[in-house]
Amino acid sequence: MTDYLDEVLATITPAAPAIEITDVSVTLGDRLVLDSVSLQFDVGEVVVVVGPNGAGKSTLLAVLAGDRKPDSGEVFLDGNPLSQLRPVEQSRLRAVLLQENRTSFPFTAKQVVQMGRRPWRGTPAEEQDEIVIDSAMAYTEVAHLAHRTFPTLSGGEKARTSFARTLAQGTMVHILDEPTAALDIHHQEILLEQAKHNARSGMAVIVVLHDLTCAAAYADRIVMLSHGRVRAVGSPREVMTSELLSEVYEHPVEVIDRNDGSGPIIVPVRNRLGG
Amino acid sequence: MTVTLDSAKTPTQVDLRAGGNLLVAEPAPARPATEAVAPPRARFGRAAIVAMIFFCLLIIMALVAAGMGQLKIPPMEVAGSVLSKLGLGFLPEPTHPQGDAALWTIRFPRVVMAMLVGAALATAGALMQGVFGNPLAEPGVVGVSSGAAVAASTVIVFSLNFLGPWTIAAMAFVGGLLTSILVYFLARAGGKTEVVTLILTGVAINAFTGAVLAFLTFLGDTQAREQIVFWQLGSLNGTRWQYVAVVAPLVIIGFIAAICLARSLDLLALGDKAARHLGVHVERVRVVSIVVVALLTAAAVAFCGIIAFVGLVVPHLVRMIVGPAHRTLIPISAIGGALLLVTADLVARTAVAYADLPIGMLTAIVGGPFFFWLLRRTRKTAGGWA
Repeated sequence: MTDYLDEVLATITPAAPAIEITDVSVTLGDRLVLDSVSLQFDVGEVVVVVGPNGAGKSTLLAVLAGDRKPDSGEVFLDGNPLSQLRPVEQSRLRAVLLQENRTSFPFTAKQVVQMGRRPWRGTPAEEQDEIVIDSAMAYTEVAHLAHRTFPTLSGGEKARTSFARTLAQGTMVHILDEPTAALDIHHQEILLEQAKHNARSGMAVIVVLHDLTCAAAYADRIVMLSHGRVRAVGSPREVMTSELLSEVYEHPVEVIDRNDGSGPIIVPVRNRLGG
Repeated sequence: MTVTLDSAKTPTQVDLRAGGNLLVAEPAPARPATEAVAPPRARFGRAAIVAMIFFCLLIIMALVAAGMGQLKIPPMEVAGSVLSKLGLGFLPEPTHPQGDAALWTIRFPRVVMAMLVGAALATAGALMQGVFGNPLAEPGVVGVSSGAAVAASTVIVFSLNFLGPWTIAAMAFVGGLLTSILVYFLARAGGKTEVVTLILTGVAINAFTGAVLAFLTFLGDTQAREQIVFWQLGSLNGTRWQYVAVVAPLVIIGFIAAICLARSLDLLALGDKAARHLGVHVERVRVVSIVVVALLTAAAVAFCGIIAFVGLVVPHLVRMIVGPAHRTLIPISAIGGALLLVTADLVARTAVAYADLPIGMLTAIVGGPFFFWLLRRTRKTAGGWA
């Protein structure tokens, strides 16, 4: 293994969860968006956050990413209170892929991915920049877009380029907010497989997904939010049940188990008018 | 912490694709043939070439500009005069008996001032556009220049002199800084700067400072009035080495600070949140940038008045040629701004015989329509005014 790995591993405190929130509450106006939520995310697992609109998914991610200070409770990144880590220290531990990705000026796709290496400037890891950037762009299949300017890319291409940027950051924690929203089936599967692979090689991956079938297929653990609270946490098999989903989404939901190891298909029950 | 490396569950398909576990950063086993190689060097090469061309043009233009005027001196003799001061005497010196004196007491300070002010304005423009993430931000357009001019005019009208020759520059800095902060807080909402809000903030501030300037003009005596009018039009007429000595250090400090901010400004283009996720101390970068913009604008305004649109036109053109990366954008814009202002000042001095046109008027005649074109373009690419 490289010195680079040793250096990265040296920054990880083995005893602590990769990221942890304790008793976090957030109020927006007079609405309690998160109501004393406590969660723990470990390396090695993909945790998918699901829940209906307004359940608090985005706020939870904002708290985890440090974009929003919780009104009460604490966030720990690699065992350290988030508020005590400088931005650059945070950026060496966790990468965030936001839903909306834009650039105010016409940077090329490659320049955008290069920005992902910024946290490692002036460290020995900087030597790996070119390799990491090229690999990240190859895995997300955006290498051919390297010289296109970001604002001219399609929604899906922007999302993949931004995911490449997140990969290039080379961090222990990945926080992905609906990363597949703009992607076709092929690129959606590539991205989620990559996320799973990352978890297997020692990262903690936290993903918000709306597609419940995808969630069930790729999650090691599912966090289901409802009305600002954690309604259920567990394996897809435990959480993705027809009863629970129907209750939380306030709509009848059918879980069709295929029994072939590829996870269940989860679809809403539809009134087939005239059918 | 439990690391579950469950290899049985990992599909082999993924292993093939993800040969470079990116945490470990092993080289990819086979790169797709479509991958293009060697772009960053090529890009830097292009920037270096453009910088060299601009620099050579600047030197040539400076020599030509210094030679032009009522007393004509060929560029070769101008170069000879400069080199002889450096102890290199292989080029002909000015043949006219007053040639050397005219160059060193009148022309050179003016040309050097044009370079400094042009570089300051272009750098301030590039910096401000980076901070606001908006190609329309410019010290003149958003009112920072006129804020600095109001403060400087106050010094003139009330004959303030508490810092000696630095008084005007210091007050211009304070005025520029206050206006920058005002624009920043008025024009930003929810971490974004809307085009309309920014421009309208500029309109409001320019209207207000215009009124204050009018009031100061009313208060002042004839001499002060003349000086204030000269502020609003902008001119390099009557530049002396003493002024250059005040402006030069400010511009150099501002320029170095701008270069130090360059990488962080690149990341700001991703938006505040994404920049912070990548380790940028966003608020600190913004505050430092605003102070530097005020410093550079004050340096430009202190003795030469309001010269608008340089900070708008130059960075935009440079961005089109070498791309938006601030490490190349800022230095090349600085050279480009110097080149533009030396040229504009030459036109201002020589277009009409025995008259010195206000340079601010010239830059506005060219810059105004350009601004309008840019506004239309931004509207199109941003999908409306929002």
